[in-house]
Amino acid sequence: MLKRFNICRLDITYQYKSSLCFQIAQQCKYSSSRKSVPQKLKITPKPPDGCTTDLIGPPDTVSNIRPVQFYVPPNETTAEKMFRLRRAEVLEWNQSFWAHHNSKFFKEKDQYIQSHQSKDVDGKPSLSPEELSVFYRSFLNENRVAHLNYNKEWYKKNISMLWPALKVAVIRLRRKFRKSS
Amino acid sequence: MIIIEKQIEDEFFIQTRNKKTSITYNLIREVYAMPKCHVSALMCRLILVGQQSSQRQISSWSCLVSHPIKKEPKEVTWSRKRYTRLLATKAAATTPKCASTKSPTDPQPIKVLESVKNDGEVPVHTVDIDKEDFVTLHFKKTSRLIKIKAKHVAENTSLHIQHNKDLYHLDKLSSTNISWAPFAGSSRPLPSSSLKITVREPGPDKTNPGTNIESIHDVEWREQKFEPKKLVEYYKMLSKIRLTGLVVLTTMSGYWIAPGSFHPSTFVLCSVGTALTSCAANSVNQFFEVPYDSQMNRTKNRVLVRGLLSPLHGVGFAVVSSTVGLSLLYFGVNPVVAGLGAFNLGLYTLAYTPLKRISMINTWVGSLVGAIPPMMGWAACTGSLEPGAWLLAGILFSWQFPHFNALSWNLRPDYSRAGYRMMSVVDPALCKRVALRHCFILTALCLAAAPLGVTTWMFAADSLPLNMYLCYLGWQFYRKGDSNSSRKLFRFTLVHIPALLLLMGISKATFGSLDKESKVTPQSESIS
Repeated sequence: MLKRFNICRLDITYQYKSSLCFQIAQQCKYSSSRKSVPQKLKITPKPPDGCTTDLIGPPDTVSNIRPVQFYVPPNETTAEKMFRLRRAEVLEWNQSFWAHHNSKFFKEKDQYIQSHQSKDVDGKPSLSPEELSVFYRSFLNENRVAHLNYNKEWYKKNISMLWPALKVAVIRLRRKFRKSS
Repeated sequence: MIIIEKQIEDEFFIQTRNKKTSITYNLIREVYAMPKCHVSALMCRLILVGQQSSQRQISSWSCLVSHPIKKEPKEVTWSRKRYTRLLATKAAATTPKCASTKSPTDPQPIKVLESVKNDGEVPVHTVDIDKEDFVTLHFKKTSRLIKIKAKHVAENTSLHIQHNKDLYHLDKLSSTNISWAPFAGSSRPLPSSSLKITVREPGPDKTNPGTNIESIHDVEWREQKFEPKKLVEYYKMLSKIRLTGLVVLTTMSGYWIAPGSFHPSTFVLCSVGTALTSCAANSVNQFFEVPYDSQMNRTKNRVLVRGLLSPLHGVGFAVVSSTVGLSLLYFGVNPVVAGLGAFNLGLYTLAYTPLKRISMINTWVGSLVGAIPPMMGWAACTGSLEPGAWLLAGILFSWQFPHFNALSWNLRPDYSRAGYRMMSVVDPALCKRVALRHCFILTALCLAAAPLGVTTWMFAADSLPLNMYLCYLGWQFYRKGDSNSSRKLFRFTLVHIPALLLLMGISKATFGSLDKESKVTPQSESIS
């Protein structure tokens, strides 16, 4: 009789950070189930070697800014070098601003939740969206000046990089043209 | 994706409280509207009963179970059609590209799961499942899988063990034990040690895109090289093609509703010119917003954020398309339209975009941006801006508020972190009030269309139900102010504006008399 209620277990170790690898492993498992050979696909968050272009990475877990690994061509001109260094500098500036800003946001949010939460019926701590929106507003207002400065600075940096970018694009295009001809 | 039919033959039974069809519907909704699949645990040969924990309903199951199950199978069918419809209504969900799709005719069973056969006890093992994880139901005979979020299983289903006639609620997620529910004809509770489910609490804050991994593109390193084959796709993304489509739609309807004669060439030139100008505006906007877009789940996949195109490329695209678009408008249509287009481009990129970080006023400026395209269409037709053009602009202006305020309501955490001074964050009460106010203004403007001679009175009548429903949803949003009501309002606004413009188009005052441009005045007089 008991055979009718077989409840089985699939052995899966599951962690947040590896959720993607896991997902793929699962899919492979099903797709290859016809042959019953489970396969695993692994993705390592490291830039591959030996590329001849710039590499753009996954977003940073705190700042959400994507890192870039710049490719240095063997016959790099000064204009190219200046542009590359400038880009790296701006990227670093963005990274540090948002890393600092976001960690501050999550820290203050946690603190706010800790100090304002009330126990609900089940004894579980809870905080309604209305109460949280108070925090969102105050955080936004507190950081108004910082954001205005950042915005102004970012506009300047972003626009000032357009002209060097154009110069570099022309240089690269010429180089490509020379190679092919 | 797997569709299940005739699951009864698999000794799998999904039964409902009230009407079988309605609960099946609910279950499907929960099963299929899922963007991702993570965990596959399995259950075999259980009876899942849709339930709410009240005594009355439990008693109704007892008779349900006492019937031989095989009498009722035909009514419980899940069809592909219904699934497609449900998926279509779920805007945020993406179709999972799960490789578990098998052809329904595939006779071979999946052998992933190993069954445990034990004679002494009911062999139930502990499974750790995250709230948001997916439990896959595996139908052995037909080798099909369906996925349900663990929390939905926990909230909506009971576990009925036929042999013991025991019924277990799985409704307490945080508890380590399944609570035992008294079931008719049964007096013996199962020892809780043999039946155990633990559910982990959700992990990190998923509003931060860096910790919210949704696809392979969120973890891989990618070479930044020029890919001509994908260029069209990237340009579409860069110009926010759906938004541009909506803008062009409003322009087209402006042209159509205007009382002038219809010239196909002008109509096409005006549409293309407006589309290109809109593309340019969106590209420049994205060029300015790269670090800000990176901060939000909604925008983190934009081309410039992902580095699929370089910022220079984006600006180049904007320069070319704005030049072409504005010259089409200037030389092909008329200077008034080109002027409006240029003004709108400037307003969007130079005023609205930076204002988002400076002041709450940005919503009004953004609405102005949305109001100008129909005026462009109107001016393309008549060459000047009559009251009707302003009315049309007013309708679009008012529509923006319920639309955008409802959208921004659920994005408050993101906006707060990314530094956007949106009305929903800075002044939530005002946000709701303004949305409701403009629902009413919109209704009034639609009623004013006939006296102004833009449409016939038919429009006043047939737009009314549409606007009344908008007002109702706006009122709900104002009263409740929760994520559900705002989502409803937002979705409806997406249907509302094309429908309204269509109604306006079919009941325009000069309909059927395209060559008589002076028709406007006599008709409005004859009505009044």
